[in-house]
Amino acid sequence: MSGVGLVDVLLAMAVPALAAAALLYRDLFRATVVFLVLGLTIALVWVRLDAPDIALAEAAVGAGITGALFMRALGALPGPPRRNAPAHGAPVFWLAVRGSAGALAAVVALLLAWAVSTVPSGEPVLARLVRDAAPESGVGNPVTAVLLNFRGYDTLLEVGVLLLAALGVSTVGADRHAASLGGARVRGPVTLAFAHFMLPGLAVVAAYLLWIGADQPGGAFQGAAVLAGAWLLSAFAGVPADIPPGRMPVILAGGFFLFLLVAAGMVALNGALLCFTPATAKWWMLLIESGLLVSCAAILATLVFRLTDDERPEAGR
Amino acid sequence: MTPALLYSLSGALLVAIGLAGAIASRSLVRRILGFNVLGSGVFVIIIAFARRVAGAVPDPVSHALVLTGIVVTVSATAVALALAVRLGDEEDGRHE
Repeated sequence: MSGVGLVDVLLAMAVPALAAAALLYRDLFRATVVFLVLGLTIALVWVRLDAPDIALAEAAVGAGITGALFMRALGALPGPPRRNAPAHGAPVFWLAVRGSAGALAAVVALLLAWAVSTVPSGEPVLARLVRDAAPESGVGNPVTAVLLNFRGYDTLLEVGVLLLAALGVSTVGADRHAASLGGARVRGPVTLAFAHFMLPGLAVVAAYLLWIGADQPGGAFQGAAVLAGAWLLSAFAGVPADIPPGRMPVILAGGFFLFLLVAAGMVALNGALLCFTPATAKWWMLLIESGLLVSCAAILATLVFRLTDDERPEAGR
Repeated sequence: MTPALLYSLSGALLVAIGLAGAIASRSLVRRILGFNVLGSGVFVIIIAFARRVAGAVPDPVSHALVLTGIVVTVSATAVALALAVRLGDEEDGRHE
């Protein structure tokens, strides 16, 4: 990609327009659907910006899982806002809030526009460091090299954040352990047949994304999102995963602790946390990623499952 | 104008729209939606920067950063939505 194509102009205009539409729709359900479209449109932007790893992540995690989360939250909330509901604060107050928010946003937009158009060109220093060290990373995909080798520490803590989120959602969300979608279930032969047809394929795609991530766009997180999607699909079809409640914490935390174990093991083997030798780096990373694939899929699915109680949507409607 | 600059400007608009939505919305869910839009804007700017040198391989550090950012955003969104649902439920209970 060298110059600006028509596609770029259209995408660059569509993205803010969709964002504005998502936030202006009165109906939150429509807003969420537009937000999903926005996520997929941004995935196209990533493709145009030569970031296929992020395009995959955005489509699967950013649009897919986030969309499921919003839909589930909306299902649990009491219907559209009641017309005679007591408003928080006077209309004048909200007019002032809207006005100042608009003014603030305009100032921020102008400042950012000024900042992005005055950035000096030239190759970023870190990009050059990564390129020079790439042969030592053990993998051909520079993004995977950064994620699991050069900046493995960040990824370890990222999985920690995921685990904390699962813990937080489990604490304030559903009271029950059931990994089913209850009221949101779509019973019927078509859903079931579709799930039967799709599940093996999705599992293969997840494993493929993990394996190919070493040299091509892909990786553990993209694979995990696909696997989580498969899990949600099976729950929608009324086939809850048959996992004993006592086993679930092990699956959720397993990836993080395996990562931690490998990180600590490298201190003993190579003298520093997460310090791999080029010869074996690929296999250590693959081991970490395999753990992450299962754990992150379970965590992402848990975030959706346990966001709210199964009973509540039925009672709320 | 380069594609990187074009998308950076688009990202700047996203940040502004998300910010306005996060501040000015009454609904908690819509505010969380606004924060997500704001975050996407930041990601667009970072990735547009990553390939501002035409012809060169995009900066993989920025890509890894945004990949981590997307996953962390989902985590934060899930916790925020769980809290919002809980708050909404309690408000509902109060009116009954």
